[in-house]
Amino acid sequence: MTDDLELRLRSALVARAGQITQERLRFGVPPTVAAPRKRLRLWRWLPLPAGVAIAAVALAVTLGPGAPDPAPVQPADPGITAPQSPSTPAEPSIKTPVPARSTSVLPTAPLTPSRSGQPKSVTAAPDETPGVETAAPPEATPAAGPSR
Amino acid sequence: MISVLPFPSLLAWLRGVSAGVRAAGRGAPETPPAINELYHSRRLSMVRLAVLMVDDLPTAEDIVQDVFTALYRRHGPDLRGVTDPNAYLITGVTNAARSALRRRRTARAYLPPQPENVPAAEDEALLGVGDREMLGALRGLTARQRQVLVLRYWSELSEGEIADTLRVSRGTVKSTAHRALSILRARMGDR
Repeated sequence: MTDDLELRLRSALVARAGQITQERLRFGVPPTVAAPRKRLRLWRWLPLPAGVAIAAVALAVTLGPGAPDPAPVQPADPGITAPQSPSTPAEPSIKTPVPARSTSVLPTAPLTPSRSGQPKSVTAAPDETPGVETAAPPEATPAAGPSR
Repeated sequence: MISVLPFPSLLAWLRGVSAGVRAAGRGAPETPPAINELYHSRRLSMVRLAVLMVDDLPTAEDIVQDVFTALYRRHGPDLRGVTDPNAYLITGVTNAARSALRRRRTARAYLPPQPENVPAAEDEALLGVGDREMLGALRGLTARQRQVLVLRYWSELSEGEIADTLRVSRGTVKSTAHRALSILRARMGDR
């Protein structure tokens, strides 16, 4: 019984397989044509060195100019500004004509027209300019006298 | 100058040796790749094997094409590292056919009933009554049972080769074949 069944099974499988012929198959495309292999793999690996190169360039850009900037400039500024800070009170007398500080001008505004009418001396530090102004007129007057 | 002269000749000799090795490895430059030769020589038998497992020809052709493509992508045109390409193909086709049957069964569980994938009407007509009955009974087996019977009675593989192909033990092959034959006998006896 088993032998008969096996024979029938074998003959059925052979008959079914025999129906599949070369003419019935679709046009066969060889794998080398259907799925190109090497080029795709090269292109897949290309982003890796590209990414590494981009990362290296980015690292160089961030670290390269950043290193010299903070080191020399930062320490130099405080060293200069510190000695300048005591001299700043004298400078405002020269520079302060800047009208940006309009609030400071307001209280001194009534003084400016009465003295000389020069906006520079008005806005300058009122505490120090008197000493300068008082010294200047005596020099000016003698010089003016001989010239006449 | 004297010390530089030997180096170009040495380089030329090395180039020649490497070119000779490459040419020997590839064979003649006009020879088609091994994968293409295997494709043209084994495609039909692999499609037949797949048809016996999944019944319809288009699915079988797709399975075989996928297996050849996977073989080419994994091992290249020269099939390096493949000791037995034929065994590789049989294993690949068997596994792919089993996956196709599993997908088909899953789809059948979630979709409304559809006509089953059976051989075309002209194919059925050309078969004898006994063959038709036998193939119908074969369709009722599980995928594993069907694979074992096809590999044993059509591919003429031994139990050990079937075990290697399906990656199961030899005892599993034996018991699966015995159970499948028992089922077939019962069904054919009913008819």
